[in-house]
Amino acid sequence: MDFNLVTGLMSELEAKRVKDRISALPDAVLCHILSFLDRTEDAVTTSVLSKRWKKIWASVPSLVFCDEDNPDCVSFVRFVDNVLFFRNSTDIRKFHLQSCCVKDFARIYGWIGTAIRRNVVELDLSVEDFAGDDDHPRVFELPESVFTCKTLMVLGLSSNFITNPPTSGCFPSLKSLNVQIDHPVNKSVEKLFSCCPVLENLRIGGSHGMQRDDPILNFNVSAPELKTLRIYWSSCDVYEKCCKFHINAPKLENFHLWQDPPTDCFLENSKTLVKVTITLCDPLHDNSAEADHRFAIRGTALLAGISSARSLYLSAHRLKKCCLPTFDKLSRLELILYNCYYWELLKELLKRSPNLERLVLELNECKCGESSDHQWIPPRFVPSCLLSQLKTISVRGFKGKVDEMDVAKYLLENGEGLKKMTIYYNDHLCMKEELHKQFSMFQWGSVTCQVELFADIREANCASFGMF
Amino acid sequence: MSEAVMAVVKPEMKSYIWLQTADGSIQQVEEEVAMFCPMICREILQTGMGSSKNYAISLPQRVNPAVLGLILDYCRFHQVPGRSNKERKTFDEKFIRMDTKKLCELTSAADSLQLKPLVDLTSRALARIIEGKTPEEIRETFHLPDDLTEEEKLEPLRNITDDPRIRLLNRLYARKRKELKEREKLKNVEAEEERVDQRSVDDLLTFINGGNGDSKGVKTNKNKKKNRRRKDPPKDSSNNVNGNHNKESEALSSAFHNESRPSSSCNLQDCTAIEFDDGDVDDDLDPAMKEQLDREVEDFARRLNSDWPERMQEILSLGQERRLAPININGNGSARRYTTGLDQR
Repeated sequence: MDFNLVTGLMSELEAKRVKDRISALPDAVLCHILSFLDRTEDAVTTSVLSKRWKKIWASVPSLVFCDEDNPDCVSFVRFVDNVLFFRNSTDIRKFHLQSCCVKDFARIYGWIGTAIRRNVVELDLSVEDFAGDDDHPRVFELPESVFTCKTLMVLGLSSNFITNPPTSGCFPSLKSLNVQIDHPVNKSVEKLFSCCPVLENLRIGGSHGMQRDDPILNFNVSAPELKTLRIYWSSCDVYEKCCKFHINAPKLENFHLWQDPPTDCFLENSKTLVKVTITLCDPLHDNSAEADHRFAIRGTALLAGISSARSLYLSAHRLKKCCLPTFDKLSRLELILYNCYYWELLKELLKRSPNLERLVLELNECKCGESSDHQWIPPRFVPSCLLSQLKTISVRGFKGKVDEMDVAKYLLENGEGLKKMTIYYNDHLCMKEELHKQFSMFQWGSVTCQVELFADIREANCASFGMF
Repeated sequence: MSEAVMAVVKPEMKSYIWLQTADGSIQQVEEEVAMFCPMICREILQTGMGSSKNYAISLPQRVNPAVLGLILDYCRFHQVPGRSNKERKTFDEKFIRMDTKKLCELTSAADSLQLKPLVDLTSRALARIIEGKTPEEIRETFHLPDDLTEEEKLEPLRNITDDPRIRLLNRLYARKRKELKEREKLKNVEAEEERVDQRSVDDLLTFINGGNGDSKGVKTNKNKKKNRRRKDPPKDSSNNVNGNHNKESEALSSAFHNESRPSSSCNLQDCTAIEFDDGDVDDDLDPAMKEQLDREVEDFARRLNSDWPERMQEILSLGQERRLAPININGNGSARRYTTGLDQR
């Protein structure tokens, strides 16, 4: 035995032990670290690191299983089985399952059952059977235990499900629900939205209408405690199937709607809205008067439902024939104008928003409308908000055209309470001096007003809306 | 006299807290910054310490002066109420850029001071470091000792938490095995078959409980090289893996379908029968016996799937049938010691 070798090895070991600082952290902290890993596989991998790490993974309260990268279904199933079986009995706080290959739904019921028995708080499920028959896809039925789980507060469902909520005792603690429905095959998802008594946060996303036999979905959202609602719906109008959204949410504060193209959406009872964002994309293929008419009806109903908003972002085409309600509480308006309906909309909104304080305009081109000459015809009476309340105006996509200058002039001359106007102009023509000259020739209604002219370097395009 | 008057007037109105680290050094910190730490805050409020140098608050041992400085920087920034979320996030992202050694120290110190937001921040950073790395890479990054034996690495899911279900399963399998042995003896079957039979049950046990005292002659994974086909579970039509994986499995998922664990799909989550390695058993064992065995195992698996109290009921009734003494259940439902009734060896 070579003593030098032994002592050398031992001191190396000592040195190593000293340098290993992470293992000195208490179990709870190590577990906490592992709980931030995106995949459970990474957490379980740490069990082969060293003696200290052998069983830390077993207490991690969040489990994320996804078989997208794992084409071997059998090993995936076995992995989930084993993780669930071998972790200790600490609660499972978060359970995410994305499965597209597991054919044995009974096994999935077992997994969900285990999570529920372990007091799961956040559940996210996406169960599809791609290996099955395309004509008759097997659809996973949500087990009743999910509906009656007392600890469940956050639920996410993507893919088609069959849902049969019980008549009572449903979702007793559910505060947040996110449903993504792409190409629905049945109508049972409709039942989900009126059985959540304490729901505060709801997101409905989906796409619809590509198949001839897609069911028409009528979303009836009835949630007494709902505060935030996001609807993100795109449909293909080829088969003219229009889904409807009817919302009864008396405590709703934030409402975000993105539809392509617009469908019926009506808020029945929301008088405490704070922030509303509406983006209605243009139905490109249909320029008929009939389409306009349909749009007008839908637009009117929708806007009537959001009339209590305090802050509104509106980007919509073809609102020409809509009747606008009065926006009594509106203090901030961000308006994306398209050349299918330009200044009339601005006029109407200004007329109907007596308490408007901030106005943001963005001027865009679009293909849907007539490119008429867009004259600015001033309203008969100056809108009351312009006379006193309106303090800041900001305009993007300014090109210095005649009608745009007319509008700017009108706003400046009549804006007696105006403090600041900011114009972002498209800098193609180096118009800065010209603009400065013209603006300084206007009569400004407010002596304290500041006007700023900026070259807008970014491309003026359709309102970039970003996923919400 | 004028000196006495002057001594009363202090140049600054701020109040300071005195903190002492384990190495004895003392420093003073603005009160609002120190109060951001829950542990310090509690000390001040409950014991009144920290107001002067002689009564400095002793910080936990894991907080050394260098890391205390970092923590106080963090507190100093975040305790200002007017900051926007974006500002805080930007600060955090810059703050967290440090080597792993310091990151670990910071985590440790923040944890001992119960400063949860900082613990979360550092934990996330450490998780990002761990993510996506192989175990070797992780060991290298954190200087972890590679002190697991090869056997331990390949059986990482040894259930050390002593789940009563596992013990129950072990006991029942031991009993099953014993019964089988006895029946075989009566039939005068040769000794080899016993071993074969024993091994198949042992395989299960090995997998479940990584070779506890019950299973004699547990062969480790390396010895099992023979290709074994697994029986299709009756309900599941999915293909079974006929693998001969010999790769040094670092990733755990591959350890799961390592072929040296033939009966590894211990699906106690549903009613699927526990897959038996009957490549060998088929030849030697009476089919009726095998069927009965399968049934009993399946029955047991199904029972395990139901809730614990119900399970205990069933076990109790089972125990009565076979003349077992009752099993004690403590408060949280976990069974305590099994009596000798099940412990027949």
